This record gives sequence, structure tokens and C-alpha cells, in this order.
Amino acid sequence: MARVSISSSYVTKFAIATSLVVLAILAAAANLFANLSPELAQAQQEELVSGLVAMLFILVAGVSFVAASVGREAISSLNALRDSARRMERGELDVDLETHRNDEIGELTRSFAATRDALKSRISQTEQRSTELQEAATDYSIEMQRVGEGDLTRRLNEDVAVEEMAELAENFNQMMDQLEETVGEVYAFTEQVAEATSKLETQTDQSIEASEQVYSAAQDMDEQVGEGEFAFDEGELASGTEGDMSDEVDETVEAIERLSNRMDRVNEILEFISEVADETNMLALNAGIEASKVEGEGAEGFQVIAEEVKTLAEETRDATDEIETISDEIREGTNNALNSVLRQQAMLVALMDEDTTDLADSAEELRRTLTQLEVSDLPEGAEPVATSD
Amino acid sequence: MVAEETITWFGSAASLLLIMTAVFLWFAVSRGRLRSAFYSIPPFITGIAGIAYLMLSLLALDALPFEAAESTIRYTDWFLTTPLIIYYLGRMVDVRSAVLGGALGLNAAMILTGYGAIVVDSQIQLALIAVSAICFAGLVFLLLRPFTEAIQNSPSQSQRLFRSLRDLTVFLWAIYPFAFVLSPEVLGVLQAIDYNFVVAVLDILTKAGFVSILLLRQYQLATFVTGEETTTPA
Repeated sequence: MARVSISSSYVTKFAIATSLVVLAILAAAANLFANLSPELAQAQQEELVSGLVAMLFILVAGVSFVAASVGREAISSLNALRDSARRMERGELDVDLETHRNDEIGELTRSFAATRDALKSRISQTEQRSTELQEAATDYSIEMQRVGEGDLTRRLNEDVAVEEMAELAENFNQMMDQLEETVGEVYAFTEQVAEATSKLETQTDQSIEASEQVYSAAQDMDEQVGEGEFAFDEGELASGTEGDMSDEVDETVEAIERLSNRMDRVNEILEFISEVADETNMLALNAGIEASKVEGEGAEGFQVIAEEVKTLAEETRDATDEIETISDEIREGTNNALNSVLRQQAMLVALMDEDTTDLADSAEELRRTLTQLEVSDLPEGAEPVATSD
Repeated sequence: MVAEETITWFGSAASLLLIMTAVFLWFAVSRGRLRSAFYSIPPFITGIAGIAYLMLSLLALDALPFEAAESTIRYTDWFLTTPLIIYYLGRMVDVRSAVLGGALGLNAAMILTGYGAIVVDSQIQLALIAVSAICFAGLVFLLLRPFTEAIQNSPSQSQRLFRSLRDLTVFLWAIYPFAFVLSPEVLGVLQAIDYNFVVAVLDILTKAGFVSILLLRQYQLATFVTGEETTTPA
């Protein structure tokens, strides 16, 4: 520990060095006396001792004077520099480092002063730059927040003192220009989807109405066949009812065919909506990619918009899939209805033909019977009634 | 018969001290601060010492107009100049009056007991020497503690000047007792001529050295007058 205290104290080192010098001179004096005294008389020896002791006193006095004046001043100056350096280390850059000295200590003091001035200048520049950065960041944060709230017309100020912030603003503005254009395209597609959806709704209503007509006609046909209300009058059967039923069936078939055409149109619209949904999803992905290039609060806003667009596209896709399924079911149903109607028509025609044939045979037999009866009962000279064979 | 070397040393000391007195007076007058204690006391220190050595030179030449012993002249010099040095140091640090009074009292006791050790016989000589040494030790304690503590809040340059003068005083005054013990008055290791030489050198360094430090570091001395640190000589 003594070794540490000695190395850490200039005064201690100076004192030890001075003591060693004094001891060395004392040893030299003792050696001189030892060498000369044998050759000197007693009085001369005493003079020699007195002279050597006096010289030693003068040496000690001289060293003391140098230590107290020059040495103390040097140590005090170094201590003052040390204290100033410690104050500067704590951030106190207002420390006074002026000196009048032209020696090494004065030069060292002036170097410290130059360092202090450089530090103050650098700190001032850094603080100014920090203030500019903070102001620019605050302004940018406000603008990005507005962008996140949906105002895509906001742009960052590129005319700032900090080059890095200006570059950031330029890149952000370019990205916003692209995003605004992309969102505009998405909006246009959305309007088209809405218009197509409206048409689909109209076509669907019409299809439903046609289906109801088909169903109603089929019900009527079924009721008429079940209750046997067909009037097999020869004239009506030949021309009237058969013609009406045929017209009604034809109308039903035409209705079903129109329904089928409408369903084809619905499918076309569904395909179109599906393409729109795919485009919308792709745009959402692009918006997400652009959002990833932006840092800060603006990225979150872009990401939210991208996610919402993507969700809309997916929901649209799901709706179109469902509508397509329903339209397929309706198509299948109408096709089945059409086929059923046609089979029923054929069966009815066949049945009607059979019935017509039976009726014709019965009518012919009745005519022959009636003719026989009329001939037997007719008075003399009466002509039998002509028939429409 | 005083040796010629002694006359040489006394004459050289007187010349040097008186020259230093004149130089400092000129310095004080040129700065217009002779009325300040910090500029008026130092010339008295070297002036009184110079006059004393002039008298010693005349005494050595048998030209002194009145009867006086060498030790009387010397101790009278010390009795007048050492309180001025203590008082000057006390004014620098603005120490409490009680402490300053105690320091002056110890100094006076040190000088008087030292003088008594010369004039009395050998039986109580050592006792008086011991008392003088104790007084000196007490004086050193006051200089190192209360005096130094009193200047802690002063500007750094003021503190640095005080510490230099304090260390000069303590180091050099500590040599006097050893020289006295080895002098012809006590042990006789030092012969009269060598003792006078040693004492003259010590007196020159103590007083002229004291004033020379003030002259060389006058920018620091000015801080005591103006109350604030300056960087250029006043």
C-alpha cells in the first residue's frame, strides 16, 4: 500500500528524491572527511567538519527553497489542472483555464482550454442538431399519424436542415404517392364490384321470379292432371285444351330457358367478381409490401389499410363462392325442373293421344250406333246426319 | 577578530536584502498599491533584515557606533521580522484573530526562548531549546491546519501563493534549530564562520526568497487586493 501512495503523490516522490540527494552528499562529505582527516591536524579536521556540515545545511536550505517555490508552484498548477479536468469530466465546461505562464505548464493549460472550447463547440453543435432532429421527428410523427388516420394526401417536409431526415422524407413521400395511386385503383375496383354486385342482385331477383313462375306452372299442371279436369271434348281436346296446355308448357319451358340464360349471366358476373377479388387481394399484398418499407407510425397505418383491403377481398371471394354454389344449385334445379316438365309434357301428350284415340274410337262406335238407330227409326225419306270423319 | 569571510557574508546579505527592499518598494509604488498591507509589509521584512545585516557588517568591522552583541542584533532582527511574516500569512488567509494571536505568541516565545538559550548557562540551555522547539512545532501546526483551512474557499491562485510561502517558512525555519544546536553556542560542530554563513544564507532565503516569490508571482498576489483572479500582471 505504501508503494501505491508513493506512486500517487508527486510530493512524496520529490521528498524521497531530495532525501536521497542529501544522503548522497552526506555520504560524499563523510568520505571526503575520512580521506582527508588522517592528513590533517585536529583544528583542520574541525574546520573540515564544520565546512562540510555548513555545506550540507546550505544544500538542504537550497533544496527547501526550490521545493517551496518552484516545486510547490508546479504541483499546485498541476493540481489546479487536475481539478479543472475533473470538473470538465463532470460536464462543467465553464471552468476557468486562463494562464499567464509561458512554460510547459502554461502550454498544457492552454491545451486544456482549447480542448474545453472544442468540447463546448461540439456539444453546442450536437445539441443544435439534436433539437433540429427532434423538431423534424415531431413534425414527421404528426404527419404520419394523420396518414395512419386515413389522410393519404399528407406529405413530409423535405426542406429540413438534417440531411438524413430530408432523405427519409423524400422516400416516404414517394412511397405515399405510390400508395395513394394504388388505393385509388383499389377504390375504383371496389366501385366496379359494387356495381356488379347490384346487377347480380337484380339478376338473382329475376331468376327467383322465373323459378317461382315455373314452380307455379308445374303446380297448376299437377293439379289439373290429378283432378282429371281435362275436358276431353273432341273439339277442345283436338284444338282448344291441348293447344292451351301445349302453349302453357311451352311458356314454362321458355321461362325455364330464360331462367337458365339468366343463370348463365349470373355465372359471368360471378367470374368477374372473382377476378376483382383476386385483384383486390393482390393490391392488398402490394400495399403491405410498401408499408413494410416505411418505418414508424405510418407503417402501422399502411399495414392496417392493407389488412382491411385484404379482408374485403377475402370476404368478396367467399361471397362469390357461395353465390356460385347457389347458382349451380339453382341451375341444377331448373334443369331438373325443365327435364321434369318435358317428361311430363311428353307423358301428357302421349296420354292425351291415347285418350284422344280412345275417344275417337268411342265416338266412331257411338256414331255407328247412333246411325244404326237413326236408320231404323227414321221415317221414310229421312237422310242420316253427316259426320265429320 | 571577525573573519573576512564573515564580513563578506554579512555584507552580501545586507546588500541583497536592501536591494530586494528597494525593488519591492518600486513594484508596489508603480502598481499604486503601497497602501495595501500585502504590498507594504514585505519591504519592512527585507528592510529590517537588511539593516540588521548592515549593523552586523559594521560590527564585524568594528564600525558600529554603539555597543551591541552579534546575537542581540540577530535575535532582534528575528523578533521583528518573523512576526511580520506570520502576520502577513495570516492576512492572506484572513484567519481568525484568536488563531493569529496564538501564532504570534508562539513565534515570540520561540524567539525569546531561543535567545535565552544563548545567554543562560548550559544547564537550562537545553530546556530552553526544547521549549523553543515546542513553540516552533505549535506554530507549524497552526500554519498547516487553521491557516490552511481558512483559505480553502479562496481562489485557487490565492491558495497556491499562500502554500508556497507557508512551505518556504516552515522548511527553512525548521533548519534554524539544527544549525543552532550544532553552532559554537551549543555543540560546537559548526565553527563561528560557518555558522554565520549558514544563518546568513537561511536569512536570505527566508526573507529575500519570500519577497522574490511575491514578485515573481505578482499576478497571484494581486488576487488578494482585487479579490478576484487575474491572468495578467497588475
